[in-house]
Amino acid sequence: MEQAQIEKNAKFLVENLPGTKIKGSVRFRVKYKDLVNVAKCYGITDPKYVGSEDEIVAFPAFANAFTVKTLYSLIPAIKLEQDGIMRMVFTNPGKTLHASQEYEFIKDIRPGDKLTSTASIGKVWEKNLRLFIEFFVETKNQDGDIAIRGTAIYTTAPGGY
Amino acid sequence: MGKTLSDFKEGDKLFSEFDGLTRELIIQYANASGETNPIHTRDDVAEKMGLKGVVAHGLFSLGFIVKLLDELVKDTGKILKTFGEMRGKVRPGDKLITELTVKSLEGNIVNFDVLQKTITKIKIEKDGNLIESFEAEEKGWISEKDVSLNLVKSREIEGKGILSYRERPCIIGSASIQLNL
Repeated sequence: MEQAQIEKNAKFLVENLPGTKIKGSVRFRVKYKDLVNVAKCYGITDPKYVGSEDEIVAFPAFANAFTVKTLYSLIPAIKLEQDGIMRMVFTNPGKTLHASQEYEFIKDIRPGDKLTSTASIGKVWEKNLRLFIEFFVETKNQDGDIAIRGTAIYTTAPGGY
Repeated sequence: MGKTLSDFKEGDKLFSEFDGLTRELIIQYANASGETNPIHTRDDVAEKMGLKGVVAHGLFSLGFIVKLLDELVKDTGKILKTFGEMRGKVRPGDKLITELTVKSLEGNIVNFDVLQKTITKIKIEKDGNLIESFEAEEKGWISEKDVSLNLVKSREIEGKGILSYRERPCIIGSASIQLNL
């Protein structure tokens, strides 16, 4: 991709993406074995996280599982019209990196919970033709209570957007 | 038993180390979390992407910060927030060192600065002879930039020789816990 096109794409995305509410949602049925399997990757033996099905809650890092799934599912669905042509945000996922992740843990997650995650875009900026996009992911449980808020920043190199 | 508020004061440091990061564990995490991008699980794919072999998920490393926080609160509080910027690749064989520094206390909330580092073994030499080389040496994971930034260090291992290794940040961030009153 030529430099002029990269600059044009960056300008377009910086101007048009911020504040976008991404269409759709991702549902996630929390399974006991998934909670235990994630906790075990960290060598956790605390029964609070790996005990019986009726006593455990999710080890907080379990948030990674549905946050990434939400972004991977919803980001490709973002379609923008640039110069009369529909385009996606990331045109080469191989050039894209997960640069940072923030979580706010609000409510415990338990086996059997039915989570629904939605996402939106915050700030978008460019530095040396590297593009940075901030995504907000909000995950609610079956009662409509917010369980976790996540903020992820993805960065993509020139040619990846 | 978790910590209580009186256990913390500004400037306190808390550490954890993890020295069991293998390809098998990274695959186990990939399967458990559903984050199965092959750059984490298949060397051939990672190499095609210019990564010189598989890298661990940044979020997997972040989880070890959560683990240390969780060990602090146990039954005496809860984790409120974590934040981490992924600054460097984490590879199989790396030792992960997580360091929390108490930044401030606000009521029953403790705020931390977070630094997570990797120790990557490069080689062991004795009297100028190579005794053992590690994957970092064989696959060229150590860059000129690492050298110029003085991230490559050495120390003596008794009975074996001089170990060269790289020590660099992989995650820099912050975290907060809330303790019961």
